[in-house]
Amino acid sequence: MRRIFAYAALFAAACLLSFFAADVALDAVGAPAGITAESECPVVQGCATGQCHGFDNVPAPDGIHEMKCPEDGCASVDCHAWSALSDGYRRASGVSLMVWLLVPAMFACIAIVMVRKSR
Amino acid sequence: MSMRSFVFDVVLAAGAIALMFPDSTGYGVHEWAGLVFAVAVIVHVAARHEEGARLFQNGFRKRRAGKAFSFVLNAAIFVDLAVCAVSGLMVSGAVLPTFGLYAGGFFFWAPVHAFSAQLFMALALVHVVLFAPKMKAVVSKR
Repeated sequence: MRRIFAYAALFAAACLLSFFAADVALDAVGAPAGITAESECPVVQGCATGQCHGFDNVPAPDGIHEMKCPEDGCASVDCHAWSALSDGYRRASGVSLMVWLLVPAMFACIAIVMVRKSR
Repeated sequence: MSMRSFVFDVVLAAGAIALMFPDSTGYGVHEWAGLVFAVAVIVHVAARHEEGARLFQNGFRKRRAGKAFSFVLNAAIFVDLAVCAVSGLMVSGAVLPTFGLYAGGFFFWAPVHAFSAQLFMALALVHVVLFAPKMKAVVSKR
């Protein structure tokens, strides 16, 4: 039990260290804050529909409410990159991550198995 | 390694794979299950404390490269999981709002979370292959 608490403390320390590193490096990053009626939508930053629809039910631009693009700061009732925002922002970039991470890992595994078999 | 810890590890691996498909499980389930998974990994590491200490001794005191590599890999997985957990918490749409909280920096934390999750799977794959002979020994004993 003591070991579990010790490793949990180590894990929490690693979490806090990574959070503080990002907090120091970037202005956009901050500690969690209470949700209020004036809180901006964390995804579209400035969406003024007045309701939080949640990540599963993000409304499409309605031509009435202005949204601020987080990429270049443009504020408009139209979103020119809506398909990218609604389809891709929650997902890993897919192919490039597979190529640069998983394929080398598979090669490493093959190398380990071959070294074992050669002994 | 006992059969009980082997079964725990298999369930842990299945949980990790399920967490890679949040579109299928739903994001709410993904977030809460992710927290449970992090706790389960801490229990897994604590249960393997003696093995980890032996890896460190053999790898760095006795200078055996393979053991040192295993230890460094395990440490990297632990740190990467911490980054994945904190970034997931910062972009969470279920866990933080449950406590009436939200966090800014979504467009920083979201790609960090995706990258660290993919890196975790890559490192965990190598970790499983490295420890496959011990797992095979446990199954063979039955």
